[in-house]
Amino acid sequence: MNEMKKLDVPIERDWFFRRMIRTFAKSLEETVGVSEASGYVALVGSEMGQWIESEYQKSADEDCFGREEVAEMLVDLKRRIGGDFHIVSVDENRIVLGNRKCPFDELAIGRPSLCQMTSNVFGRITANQLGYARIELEETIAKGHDGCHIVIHLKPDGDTTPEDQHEFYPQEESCASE
Amino acid sequence: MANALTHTLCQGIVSRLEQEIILADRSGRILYANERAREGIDGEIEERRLRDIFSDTDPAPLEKLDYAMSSTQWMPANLTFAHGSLAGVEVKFRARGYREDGQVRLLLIGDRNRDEGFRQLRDLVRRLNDELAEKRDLAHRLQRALDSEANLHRELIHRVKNNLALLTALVSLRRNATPDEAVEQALKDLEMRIHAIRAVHDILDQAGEISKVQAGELIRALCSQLDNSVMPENVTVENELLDVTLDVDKATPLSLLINELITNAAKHAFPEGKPGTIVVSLQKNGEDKLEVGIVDNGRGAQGDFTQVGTGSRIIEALADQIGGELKRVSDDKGTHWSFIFPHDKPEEDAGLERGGALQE
Repeated sequence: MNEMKKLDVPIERDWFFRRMIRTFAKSLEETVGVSEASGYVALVGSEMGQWIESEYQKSADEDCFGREEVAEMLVDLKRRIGGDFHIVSVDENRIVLGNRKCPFDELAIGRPSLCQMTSNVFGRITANQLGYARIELEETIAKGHDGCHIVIHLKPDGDTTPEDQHEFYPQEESCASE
Repeated sequence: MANALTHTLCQGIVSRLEQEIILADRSGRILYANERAREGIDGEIEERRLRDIFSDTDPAPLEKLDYAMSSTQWMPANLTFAHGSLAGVEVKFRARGYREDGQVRLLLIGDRNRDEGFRQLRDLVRRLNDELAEKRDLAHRLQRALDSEANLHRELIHRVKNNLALLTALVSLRRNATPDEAVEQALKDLEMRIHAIRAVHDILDQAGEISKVQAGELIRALCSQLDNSVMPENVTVENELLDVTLDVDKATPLSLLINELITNAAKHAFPEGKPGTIVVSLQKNGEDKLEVGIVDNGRGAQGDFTQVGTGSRIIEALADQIGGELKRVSDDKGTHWSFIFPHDKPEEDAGLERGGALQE
């Protein structure tokens, strides 16, 4: 008879929850479609972004951060949850980030709605801090790329936004709100 | 082509869309509502805010609009109208922010398709519930009709039982008055046959049943009655009875058949006060048959039983009616009657119950 606790089964809490979220995303995508599922995930991502921003604000005892600090915050928060993001470049027009490891690991592959979590967390924090964000997911592990390449545009580009990109505006009472 | 879509045309189209369309500014002030959305807005829209037209019983959906307004991504928003003809109606919206001339707007579009699957499911459940209620009502009415019929049937059984008792009393009275022994015997036989039928109705009446009889109880009652009326003192009646349920259609002829066989044994098997025993048994024969046995240790019978007397013809007729096979084995040590007949409800067998001797 096998002694269960001695078996080498790759189940632990973090893996369990990541798998659970992936399963939720899969069920949503299959039930209501990728577009609708992305909407639900975006709602969660926005709320998570606001919460994460407030945690950094409390910890730093500051409400507002500069461009470089925001870029570092985004990389840092991903590091804390198991990602491997890095800053590619930062200038007045955009923050460009790269990533070699998704916090969801390979579980993200084929589940593009999960990218809306990152997109909305980044967009929410950046817009609240710097006044505007437009997230362009150039490459994503979810879509089969080796890594992620994310461009966060900091200035609007005319009145039209590409269909696969989303704009974010500062919330009321945020650092960048008037 | 793009020029064909004029501002006026766009306004006209949006105004008449079936979906609710609402545009609000950053503070939640309503800037525009199409005709469909105005059904949920009591009065003019000027200076009205989202919080004025949507129920805030649960504030969470309204609070989430801030996220939707701050992004161009479509997000789900379920909002319930608080006033107007749509009061209390929850509408599934898709919501997102728009930036125009540096100002952020919130666009809400009714998204009934998102709810279509659930609506169809609700309609299906409602329809099934209605059908279920209808069927329950029908079943209730049928049950009441059946109960009523059963009550009438029970009343009928009770009256038949009483009439048979009256008939038995009349035959008995006439029997006691006749000086002729042959007539007396004929009336006695008739009386016992009537009683055999009455025994079935007695049991039905006592059990409040209309179509099923406990065979063991019936045969035991029959033996007891015969023991008290026609059985000579030198003869003991014993029984070994399986308690099974019989349809009344079989129970009545079976009761008559057993009455005939026991009466015959009592009359002929033990002449001149010779002591003896009649054993009546009921047991299973295979999976779907029952076997009645009437065994006496008397002097034995002569000849073919089909060739003699009215009683034998009755016995044969009753056996045919039940659809069973009647056999007799007889020698100088006694007679063994065996009657095997089909039994439709073997699952109702309650097990073998062995009765004791009925002899006084």
